[in-house]
Parts: sequence; C-alpha cells; structure tokens
Amino acid sequence: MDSFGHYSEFAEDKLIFQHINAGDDQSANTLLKKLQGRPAIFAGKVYLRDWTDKAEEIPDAELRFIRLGWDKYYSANYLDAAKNFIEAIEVGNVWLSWSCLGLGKVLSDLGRWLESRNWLLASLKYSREQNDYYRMAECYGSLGEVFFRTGNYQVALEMFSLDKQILPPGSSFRYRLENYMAITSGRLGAYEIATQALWQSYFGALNSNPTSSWYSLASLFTLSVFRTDSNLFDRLSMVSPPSDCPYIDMPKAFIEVAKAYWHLKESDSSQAGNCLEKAASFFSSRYPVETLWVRTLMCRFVSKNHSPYSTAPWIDNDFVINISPLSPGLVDRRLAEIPIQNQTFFQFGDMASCEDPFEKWKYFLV
Amino acid sequence: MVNLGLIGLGSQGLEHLEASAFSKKAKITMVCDSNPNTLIKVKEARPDILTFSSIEEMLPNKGALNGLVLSLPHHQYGPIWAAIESFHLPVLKEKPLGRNLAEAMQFFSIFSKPGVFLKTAIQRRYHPSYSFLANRIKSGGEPSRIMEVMATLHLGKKDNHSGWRGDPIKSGGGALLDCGYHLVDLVTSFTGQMELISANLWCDGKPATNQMIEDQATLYAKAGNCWIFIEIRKDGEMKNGNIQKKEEIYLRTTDGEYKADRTGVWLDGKRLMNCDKGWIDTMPKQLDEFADDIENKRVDYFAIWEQTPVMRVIESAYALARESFPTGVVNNG
Repeated sequence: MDSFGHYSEFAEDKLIFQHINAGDDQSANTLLKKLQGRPAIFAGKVYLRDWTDKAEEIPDAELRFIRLGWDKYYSANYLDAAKNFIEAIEVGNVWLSWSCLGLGKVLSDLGRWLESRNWLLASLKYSREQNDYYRMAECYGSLGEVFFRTGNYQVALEMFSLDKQILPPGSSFRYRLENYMAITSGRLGAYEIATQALWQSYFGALNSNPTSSWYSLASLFTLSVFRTDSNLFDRLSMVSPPSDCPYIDMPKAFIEVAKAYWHLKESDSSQAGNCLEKAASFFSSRYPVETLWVRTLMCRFVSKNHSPYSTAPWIDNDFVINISPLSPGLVDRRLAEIPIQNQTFFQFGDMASCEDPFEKWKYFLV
Repeated sequence: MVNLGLIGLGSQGLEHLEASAFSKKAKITMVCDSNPNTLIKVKEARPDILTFSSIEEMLPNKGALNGLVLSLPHHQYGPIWAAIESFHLPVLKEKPLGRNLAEAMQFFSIFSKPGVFLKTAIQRRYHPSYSFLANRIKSGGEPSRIMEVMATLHLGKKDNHSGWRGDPIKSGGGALLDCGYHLVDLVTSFTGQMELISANLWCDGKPATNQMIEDQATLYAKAGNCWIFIEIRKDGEMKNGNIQKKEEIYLRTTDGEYKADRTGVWLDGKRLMNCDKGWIDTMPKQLDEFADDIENKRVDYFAIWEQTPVMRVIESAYALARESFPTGVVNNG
C-alpha cells in the first residue's frame, strides 16, 4: 500500500471515529462498508461490532485477540471469548482498556461478578489515562450491570447515569440507558418514577429507535409483574409496537414471560406454557442464561419434561485467570469497596428447588 | 475589636456566638431572634449582650455596630433583605449565598454599593489542615498537578426532613445545597472551576424528584484533566449500630496521593501535619478575618464572585439529576 493509501485509510478511520462520537452510526456504517475486504485494523469496526472481514487476518496480535474475543462474546461463546481476551491482555499494549472491558463483560455474563467488577475498573483506569470517553462510558454501563445484578441498585443507577452523561449528544445508546435507569429505579421501589420514565422512553423512541421502544415495553410488562399490577398489564396488552424492527427477540421473549405469569395467575397453565415456549424460542441459544431461566419456569409450572440444564453447556465456567487487574483509580476506588460476591447465576443451578423461579427475573436488566 | 450584631440564633448562629468568645478581633454585642426562649437563654448565659426580638428593634442601635452576622433559615433572607440593607453595615452571611444563583445575585447586587460588603461563611477551606494542603500543593518550584480528587462528607445525622429544611421551597435543597456547598467549595479551592458530568440525588434510597429533599448526593465532575468524585450524605455508614460521621478529601497528584481531614494531612500514608483542635479555631478565625476586613476597610469585592462557580455547580447538579426524574407523581399505568 502506498503512502497515499495509508493516508486514505487513516483519514477514513478518523472520520469513522468522529461519526461514532457524534452518535451518527449511519454515516460511520457507510464508511465502514468501503472498508470491507480489508483486514479490520480499524477501531471503528470494533466500536460498531459490524464487521464482515476475517478476524484471523488482523496482523496486530493484540487487536486480533480482541476482535476474536468480541466475535465469540456476541455468539455467547463465553469461555473462548474469555480465553481470547486474556491472550489480548497478556500481549497487551495499546488496547488494554478494550481487552479488560471484554473480559469484564464475559465474567459478568458468567455471573463472576466480583472478578468482572475488578477487570472493568482496570479498563476504566486505562480508558481514563487515554481520554477514551467512549470506552469509559461502556465501562460505567457494564459496572452498572454488575451492580444491578448483585442488588446494588443505587450505585447501579449512578453508573448508568454516568454512562449516559459521558456519551456524546445524539448517541443511540442513550435510549437504552434511559431504560436502564428507569428499570433500576423500579428495582429501588420507585415504581411511579420507573413507570413514567419507561412510558416516556417508549414514546420518545417510537419513531427514531423502535427497537428501544420494544425494550421499554418489555420493562413495563416486567413492572406489571413486579407490582402485581393487572391494570398495567391490561393496558400494555393493548399497545401495538412497530413490528418491523431488528433485534427485538429479547424484549419479545420477556413480554411472553410476563404473559405466562399472568396466565398462571389465572391458573391457565396451558396458555402459560405456550407463552413460555415462545419466550424460549425468542431467547434461543443467543441468550443462554435467559433460556435456562425460561426452561426452569416451564419445568416448574408447566411440564416436568423440560430439562433446564441442557441449555447451559458453559455452566462449568470456573476457569482460573492467572493475571491480576490494575487497582482502580482514585475516583472509582469506592466502587471496588462495595461488597459483592461471586454468585454465578447458576445458583440458577438450584433454581429447580428455589421457591419461586420468577424471582430470578430480578437479575435481568429489563 | 469590632462589634458585631448576630441575626438568627439557630444551631449555626449559636456556634457563631460561641466562636466569638475565642475571637481576638470580633465581639458579638447584639443578637436578634424571634424565639423569646432562645433570647432568654442567651441573656442568662451572656448578660453583656443586648437581645432583640426583631430586626426593626435592633436597627436603632446600628451605631454601636461595625458589622452583621446573618444566620437564618434560607428562605428568611428575601423578606428581610431591605431591612438588612438599611443597617448599611458589612455583612457575613451564613452559606449558602442564596437558594439558587439568581437569589444569590439579587442579594449581592444590593451589597455592591460603596461602603458595605457581603461575605459568606465558608468554613471548610479555612480549616488548618485543608489550608495546609492547599499551601503544600501550591508551594515549591513547580506546583503539584492534581489528576484525581475524591471528597466525602457524611454528617452522621439521623433526621433529614424536619422543620423548614424539609420544605423544598424554603430550603432550596437538601444535602447538596447544605453540606455539598462546603465540599464543592473545598474541592474548587484545589482544582478550580469544575465541570459537572453527572449528578445523582437520593431521598431515602430512591431517586429524589423535585418535590423531595435529597439526603444524599453524588457528583462526578472534571476540572481540566482532573477527575472529581464528590459524595455527600446527611447520614453516614452504620458501625456498631451508630451512624458514622466522615469528612475527608483525597488528591492524586504528581507528588503522590494526599489525604486530608480535620485531624491532619497525609502523603502516601505518611502524616505531614497533625491538627487536634482545628475545627474550634476555624470559626473564630473566620470572625477575625471579617473583623480585619472591616477595620482595614478592605472590601473584597471578589470574595463573593469566587463563590459563583460553586453556586453554578450546585444549580447544574440539581438540573442534571432531575432531568431524568423530574417528578414522581403519576398514576400507575
């Protein structure tokens, strides 16, 4: 490649970053399409997670491991994703904030929340040193998920709020974060605030980001269950969200679980079973934790023929990480001191024996 | 020795009265409060002090005064401000400068006239250990560069919502406006003007809407490339069944990590100074400085402007925190 070619690529890279930072994903994607067929050495591809080239061809080992890690993470192949992120950290140099973030997210999804928190804080430290606001936003959001799942809702809400404020104006992630903030308020018992904020998000995103509206709707259905509010459920059942939008399997599944809950309240286990079947198919293998949960609900309330555990082949996830993360920065130090413990979801493993598997709903950010 | 009149004998006002006994340059010679029982108690303890039940009663005696100290509930300043102006005396007002920036500017505009001035009582930054730390950082050939700040203030109080402080209109706010004012001012004295990134307000563990008085606030901010975290709580962490007070500031700098609280200053865990009676000294010192200003006719016009960044941060924090949760009152569904 001649020097002009290099220049051209860097210029495109620069533009991709600018578009992403301005929240203009569409323009960033248009530019990315021009890069197809070239090895993705460009950070923009990792940002958008919309790559089509082969990760194995990336010449830089650190970035290659990171790309492979994210590929596997988004395929719910958590164990291999963790392996790749650890490899990236071991050869780590300039992309450590990315690899630590990846490992933190994998550990979070595996329910290894204590370790997840530590790696996310390390990522945050690297991100802060590099003035990488986008990564910082992701770290705070991911920490929010960890604190949410461990029941530390107040600090979770602080993290989501911080994530939202660090994001550039116009970012499409804002809708999601507003939903997260509303959901977390609900978990804190501020139901009126949560309900109002979710309706606001639902209608606010309806035209610009209908996928997000689906998530708001699913969270409102969740609230109807948490509050045992049949009036809210009846109203939600009359809502017709836009049908032609992408990535709505997750909210659709939770809505089906909510419907199943209300059918069970009316002792209609047949209808509940149908809803749970639908939910399981929406979750599919892409969401193994959620699928495990729904299978458990089916096993408990509908038919004993379902085996919840067949959907979690990665349940044995106690691999050892032989490297230690950096200690957190001063402004994040208190986050490292909040008491949490590793409590793999699966203690979900003994869901079959728990009093009410619906209670496990609280772990899901919906 | 300058003679001061104290208006308002709530808990803060009584602290000023107590402090004046230790002041080398200022003496409180008159007090004013609408509560007759409080006046009787003061009279019994300090028979040398003249007591008045209203500002109008006190006004004819202004010739015997050199300055006023105001320590009233936040909402009571507006109605009496014209009367205060008629004293035509320098004023030391208990913080905050106003319930919001607009009110603060309104008060300040009156005291921009020649011959009078307005100061606000901000104790924290005058505390010996914090003053020591400020000097330490600024001294030397090249001042330390501050990269990160973490500041915490837990008042250790159980009760949050009582009296006028429980009314959002009268108080103008809760933990953030009252204790946060001190902490934001203290941090600003080290870092300079901060830019708010995120603010969360809490009331009984739930997000505080604009109808609530927050008992807890957390702020993330930046000043240049310095990251700042501030936590304020009316209560505190529980230990052995008791609510713990806490007040400390950490600074990560090019020198290392400083810690300061009311008992001293440390660098990377090594004590640099010890401060046993620090807090007792601070309020008399503040009165001494006020007396100095009066005696030397030193009108520090900028002292008030210096606080507008604090007011701005507080106001932004309220706006930012409530942007997400403007109200909690809706019908279910």
